[in-house]
Amino acid sequence: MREKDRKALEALARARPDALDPTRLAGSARQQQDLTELMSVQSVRSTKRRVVARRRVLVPAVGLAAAAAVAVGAVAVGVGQNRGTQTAANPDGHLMLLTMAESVQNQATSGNYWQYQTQTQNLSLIRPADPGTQPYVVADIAQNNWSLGVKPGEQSLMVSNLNDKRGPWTAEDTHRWMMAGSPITVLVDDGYGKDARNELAIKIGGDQPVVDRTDYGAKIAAVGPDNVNYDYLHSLPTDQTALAQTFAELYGKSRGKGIDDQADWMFTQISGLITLPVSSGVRAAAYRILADLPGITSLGTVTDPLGRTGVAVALPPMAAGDLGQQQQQLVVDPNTNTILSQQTVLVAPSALATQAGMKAGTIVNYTATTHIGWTDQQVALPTTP
Amino acid sequence: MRDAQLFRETYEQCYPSVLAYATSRLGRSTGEDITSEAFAVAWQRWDDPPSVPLPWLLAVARNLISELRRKDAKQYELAVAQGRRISTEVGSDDIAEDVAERTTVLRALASLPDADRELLTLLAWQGLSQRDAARVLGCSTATLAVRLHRARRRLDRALGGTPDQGSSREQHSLAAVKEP
Repeated sequence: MREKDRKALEALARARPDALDPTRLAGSARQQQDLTELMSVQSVRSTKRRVVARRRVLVPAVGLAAAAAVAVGAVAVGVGQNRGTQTAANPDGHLMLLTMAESVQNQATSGNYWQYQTQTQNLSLIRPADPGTQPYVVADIAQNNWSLGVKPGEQSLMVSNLNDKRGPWTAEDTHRWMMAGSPITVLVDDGYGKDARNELAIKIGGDQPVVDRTDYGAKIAAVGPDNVNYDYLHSLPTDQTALAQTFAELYGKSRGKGIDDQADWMFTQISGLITLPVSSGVRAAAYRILADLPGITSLGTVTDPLGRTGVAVALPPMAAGDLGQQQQQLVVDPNTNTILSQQTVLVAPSALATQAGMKAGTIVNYTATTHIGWTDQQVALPTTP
Repeated sequence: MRDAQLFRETYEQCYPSVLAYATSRLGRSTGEDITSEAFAVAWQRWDDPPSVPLPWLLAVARNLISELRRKDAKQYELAVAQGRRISTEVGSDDIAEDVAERTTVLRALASLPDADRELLTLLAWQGLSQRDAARVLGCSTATLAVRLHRARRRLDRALGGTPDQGSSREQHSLAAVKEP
């Protein structure tokens, strides 16, 4: 560089306004928030779409605890409402969970990878900009494979968006979508306000599968606000009271970053814990904690979104977003002691939801577990098209 | 496969510089949105991360800014005015030291064409090498050297220095060079 050029640049460098000094710009709340949002979105192709699996609380460590905190925040029900402390646990649900707790204790554990496969579906309500056009529902359905490498050096992988399909939900929704001009990109209002930041553009059609590496050092899973390693999962207390105490502390730590209601938080966290590579004793304690959650009720025998028969427990319905009252449900298989589906169900649809064709009983989103267990074989990667 | 850990490190490392650049072009608020988008794009393409990420990220941010200009000229103009203001004024909170000199330099910078200011600040404020700045601006290193020389001479003139010979011809030739 010529001497004069160099000197001019030096003078310029000294004159830089402080407002443009990178060291002063580092570490803003926005910086953290953006990263968290970015990393909690699994799709490679369109980061702006709402991702179904975000509803799952225990995001195997796509990195930092912050990601988990937002995952919690993304759960559709229970934000910012107090429920009080009902204690009337329905005897059916209570007994069923306790029975499961008994039999789960004898399950064997070994393998290099803990894997589970899920199918997720998420319904989004679309309000076309043109006031003369009817609201409609877009469904996004995909499969995901999670593989947690529990031995040192093994990778943890999340294969998501397998067979991703996104489009109008019913024939009527297809009709309305066409009346709206068959837009390829639609804006989803997440129901928590008119702030443009809450609007997510999603594309009709579907995304390509995505592979993400989810281990972060030795940390392979998120529990509450923390990312944890396999040793942590393995050393969780098997005593119900002690485990509940551990989670009460985690709840205290994560307060203000997600779900405020403790029972709601516990329900999602404990449901997630059951899907992680914990000892059968911990899983048993987890079922006992669920059974004792304030306000939990049994819904008896139900059919899950994939048509499998199971028994469901639920938290009391809560108002959430624009759709109306919704309820968190957990469907388990008492024969195999495994989770079938974690889902959010519309209990009392709002006028808007009704107008869009949603009814009481509509499953707004679900994560159905289709396989769970140990293996020595790393998950198969999708072939790139 | 995307390496999330590498992305986090890159994010931590480069975010402030990308934000500084975007803010200098469009002000803080729009600058933050552009920075956010730039990293979203980066994460989308993280299957094949660049070995030197900052120039690449800045180039992405720069493209997004061009896109904004095409899509929403009005918002772009408003944001550019903010960027111009923030990058040519010593802030009231700034350390008082050298304020007079800094004010003079920034005033001179303000009088330059946007393209000159962008080029000079990429080098002086973002600390890019000429090669990396060329990558951001999408031109060859040789072209960049020429543009730098001219921009610096215009800065000198704005600072009240002696104009170099042949400046009128040079200005004429520069007017013909449209920014990409």
